[in-house]
Amino acid sequence: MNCTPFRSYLDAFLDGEVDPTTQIEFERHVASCAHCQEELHVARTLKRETKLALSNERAPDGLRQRIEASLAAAPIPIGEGRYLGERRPLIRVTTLPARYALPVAAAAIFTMVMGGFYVRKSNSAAAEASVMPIFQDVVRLHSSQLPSDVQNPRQDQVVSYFRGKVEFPVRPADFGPEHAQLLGARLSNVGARRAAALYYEVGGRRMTVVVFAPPTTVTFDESTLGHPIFRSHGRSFFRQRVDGYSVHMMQHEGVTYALTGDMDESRLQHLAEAAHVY
Amino acid sequence: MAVLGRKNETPRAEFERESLKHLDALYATALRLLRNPSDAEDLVQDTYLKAHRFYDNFEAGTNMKAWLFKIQTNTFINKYRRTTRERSVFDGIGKDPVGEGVMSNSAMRQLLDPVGTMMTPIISDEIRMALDQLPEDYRLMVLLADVEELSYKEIAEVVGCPIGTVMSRLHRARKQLQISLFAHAAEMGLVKEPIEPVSANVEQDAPIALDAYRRRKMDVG
Repeated sequence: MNCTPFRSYLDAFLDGEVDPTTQIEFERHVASCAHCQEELHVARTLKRETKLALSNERAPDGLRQRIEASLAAAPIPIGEGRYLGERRPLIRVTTLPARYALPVAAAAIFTMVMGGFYVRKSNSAAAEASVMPIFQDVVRLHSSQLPSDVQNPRQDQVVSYFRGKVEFPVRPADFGPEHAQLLGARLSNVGARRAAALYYEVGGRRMTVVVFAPPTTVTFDESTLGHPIFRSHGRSFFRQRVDGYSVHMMQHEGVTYALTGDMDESRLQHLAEAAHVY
Repeated sequence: MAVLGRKNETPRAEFERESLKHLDALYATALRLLRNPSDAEDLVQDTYLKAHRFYDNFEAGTNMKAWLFKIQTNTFINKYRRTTRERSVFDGIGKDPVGEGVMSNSAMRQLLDPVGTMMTPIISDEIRMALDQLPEDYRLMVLLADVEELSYKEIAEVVGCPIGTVMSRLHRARKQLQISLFAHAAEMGLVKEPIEPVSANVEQDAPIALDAYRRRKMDVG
């Protein structure tokens, strides 16, 4: 084994997070490689010193009393985050006089029939639900404002930064006449898959483009995304609204591009239309 | 419902008995996140009230510490981060790619293996200071992994992200911690050797999921 895999998983090794086989393999490598030995020693020492430096903190005496007092004063929880005496919606179970029996039975049949329709309809709802977490991840990547891994990169720097980190090429989109400045890029995830987040600024507002390969478990087409809002150059653009953000999504050569930002929906759509990837 | 109860113990008494064991850990983390003792106390108190209210959701036999940390982290994100965001995404310490080989290992040794124990309090101060300079996401990683010694799986639960993200974020956090630590140590003359430039090629081996490594190994073999 050479040093590269060891260096990549040094943290996991240090934290005891590798499986026994890998553990043995790594130990064998460390025993024979002075450089990795040193690296491991340093990392281990820093971990130990960090623990030592920070584990002596004690909560102030008054805090425990304050907490105990506030718990004593709090109402009694009855589950589901509700307190005793708090109003909550209940399904009322009441017995009805016999004269209502027939109308109730009729209503029940009606409900069953309607229920049948709902089941049919919820097929598309379920399909939609399967793509929602992906849109939510895109919005999270935009709204959480995480720091960039590369700042103010040139296009080629972005390409080389993501090479080897994600299994698809990451090319920053060009917005042509729409002046969008690329501020940074960050390696992240959409669902359990790796994704590239590209941060732009357009006219003083933030915009995020997330590039990822669609998960194999989810189909990205009209069955899950609804009708495309428009088509351009043979590509379909889809839109979803999540947490007050509008997310535009399109696919190009097997890679998905999702775009969201602080600007209004029509402006975002405009930008999505203008985007080109070379 | 949690079945930790002793005979004749009210649920609240049971909750207090089990949860207050972790008071120091929660407070220490809150203090490092907020860097202000009174805010930290408020956060911890909020955490306890919320945990008590949702004690029903706690599954007996699972790690209560991780559960409390999850509540505290969510409370922190919802309540405090929104109001105290002073750091812009594109500046501050997280802006540059973090590489390996930031300082030579002999410089490392000078700092971390001082003669005798005289240096330890100094090192501790340095580490606390360096940690305070990390972006919150990174700081939280170091606190949960190195100080609280939660597993990657538990950290992923607490923070609400995949394990792969925990790994890469923790890796970056530790490297960033090293950089600040050594930059400061060099300023103070604690290490003699100047800090070496970051080697650029190592960005390639940012940690990825371990099974990817195994898969690659299988492909070769």
